[in-house]
Amino acid sequence: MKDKIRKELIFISAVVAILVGSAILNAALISDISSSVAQENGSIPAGAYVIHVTGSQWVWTFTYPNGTVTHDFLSVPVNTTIALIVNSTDVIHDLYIPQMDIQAYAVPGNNNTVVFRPSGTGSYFFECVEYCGEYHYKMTGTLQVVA
Amino acid sequence: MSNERNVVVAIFVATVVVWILFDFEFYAFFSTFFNGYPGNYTASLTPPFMATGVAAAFFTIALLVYPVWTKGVRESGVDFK
Repeated sequence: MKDKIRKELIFISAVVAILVGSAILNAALISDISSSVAQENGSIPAGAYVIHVTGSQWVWTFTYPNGTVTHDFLSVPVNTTIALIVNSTDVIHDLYIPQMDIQAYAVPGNNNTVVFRPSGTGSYFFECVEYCGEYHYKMTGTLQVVA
Repeated sequence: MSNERNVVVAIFVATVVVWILFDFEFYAFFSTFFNGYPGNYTASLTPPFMATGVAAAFFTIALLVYPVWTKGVRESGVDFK
């Protein structure tokens, strides 16, 4: 009987150790990438290239610091910190760029900020991942990272 | 008892090997997939978690299947006894 209890205790200890270790690693991850988790009126790092993103049925509009406006196409320089300030004109949208691992809700009246830093040139896919109406599936676009 | 313990230990060792293989595999995949911060950071931190999931599944399934595979007798063409 005592042997069984000892084995149970070893098993429970191992499970608890794994869970606690995982929780600590997760906490470290979340604290380290907090600026890349979309936040309402989130802080913008000094020197960041700020782009305003507006979601509307059914197009993404990007407004650059120099006033240039593009639709469903985002062009950013490589190795530069990019801050996206995301909002919406109608319903809730959700901007997702898988290969940068960022996602930000576009909510009417809210400015959600998300920060990323591309490290390689190329074309990447982005899309709306919040069902936003009949032509939701058309809210896709291309992120072009240039040298 | 000793033999049973050896089997469990052997499955556990195989599980550790599976964990290491999948850890490398996931890291290789994510390193290729992500191309910027915070993706790069995610690529380095998440593979151990995902490999743990795969290894835990392997361990559970191996423990479940091993006695059936070695001691089961096929009867009526479908069931293991």
